Amino acid sequence: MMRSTLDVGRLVASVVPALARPAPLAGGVTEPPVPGAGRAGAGPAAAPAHDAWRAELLRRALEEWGIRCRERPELQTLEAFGVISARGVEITIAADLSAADRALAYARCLARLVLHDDRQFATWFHYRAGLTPGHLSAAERRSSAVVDAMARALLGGRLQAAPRYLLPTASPEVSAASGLLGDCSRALLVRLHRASSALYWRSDSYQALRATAPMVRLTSRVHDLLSAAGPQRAA
Amino acid sequence: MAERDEVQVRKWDAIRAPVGGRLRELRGNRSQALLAGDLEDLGYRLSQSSICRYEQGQVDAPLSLERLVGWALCCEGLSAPAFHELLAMAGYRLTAAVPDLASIDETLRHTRTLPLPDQVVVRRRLLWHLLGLQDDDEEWAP
Repeated sequence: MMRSTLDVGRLVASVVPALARPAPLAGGVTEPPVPGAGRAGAGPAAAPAHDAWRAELLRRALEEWGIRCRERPELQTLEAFGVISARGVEITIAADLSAADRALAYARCLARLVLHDDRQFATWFHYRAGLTPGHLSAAERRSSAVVDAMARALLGGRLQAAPRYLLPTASPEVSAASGLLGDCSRALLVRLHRASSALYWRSDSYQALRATAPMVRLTSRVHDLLSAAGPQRAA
Repeated sequence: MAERDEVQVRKWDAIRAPVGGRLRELRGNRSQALLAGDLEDLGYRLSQSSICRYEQGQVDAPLSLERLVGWALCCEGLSAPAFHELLAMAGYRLTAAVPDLASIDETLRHTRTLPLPDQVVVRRRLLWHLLGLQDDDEEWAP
């Protein structure tokens, strides 16, 4: 089914639960989780098939939402690039990528769409490892680092590993508490979210730290404590 | 040559000299050979001598919108005043906003350092967005 308008928030919400699940085996059987495995449910032998499955899942989801996806063999330096215009959104990916790189390339493009949700004309370029041109500005390099970190969070089905305010589904903070306490907790929560997003943009170390399980737990608890609105996504 | 209406011939006769001047202005410091090569990469059939004749106002057939946009795209001149004067003279109109055209020029300059095959793929996609061409991969295969 082709959606009529692009809603990146719903696109992300539709694909993340599937990415978080273990890869299906032949015959539709879901692979059981392996404790301590790098990917949920995928051992080393299953990794390429799992990566191919994730790449196809992302491609299908993007196309379902009206994004034209192309794979071109000519791309030598570019891993992928995207164009957003009044004519629509399209992404082009190098055809010779491995299954893992292909999945990551689609995830990076999705992360770009999250960050370019204003629908203005925009282009972006993702370079193959080691082929990033030297003339890129510091802002472009920071942007690429954030896109990469968010893509890895998306690909793992772990949105909570990225700052809440960078995600398209973030909603205004709600607090069950009322009065001065509620106002203070809301204000503090907003500042924490903004600080987390700002730090995520500036620091590679924080991007890595933010994706760790203890940090995800900590931020989730802080968010729940301050919002007092039950379990929600992390800051 | 295909038969053309008298009014079309007269209009083109009236504007082809100034059109040639603007095309030359758009080309800037690029050689005609480089421009011909870039246009050929995009699928245009424009030789170096054709470019020379267009610039001198010697071509009898009117310049199409597709050729005009391709020319400006290869010269990174979509936001140049000369391109907008050309569009106005020829009576063409692009739906893309002026800031978007400037962004495309910036993108084209940004990709100039890429290997040629990468550049060609990017330019073709931008051309599609500018003209709304419904191409498919087979049609555009080199």
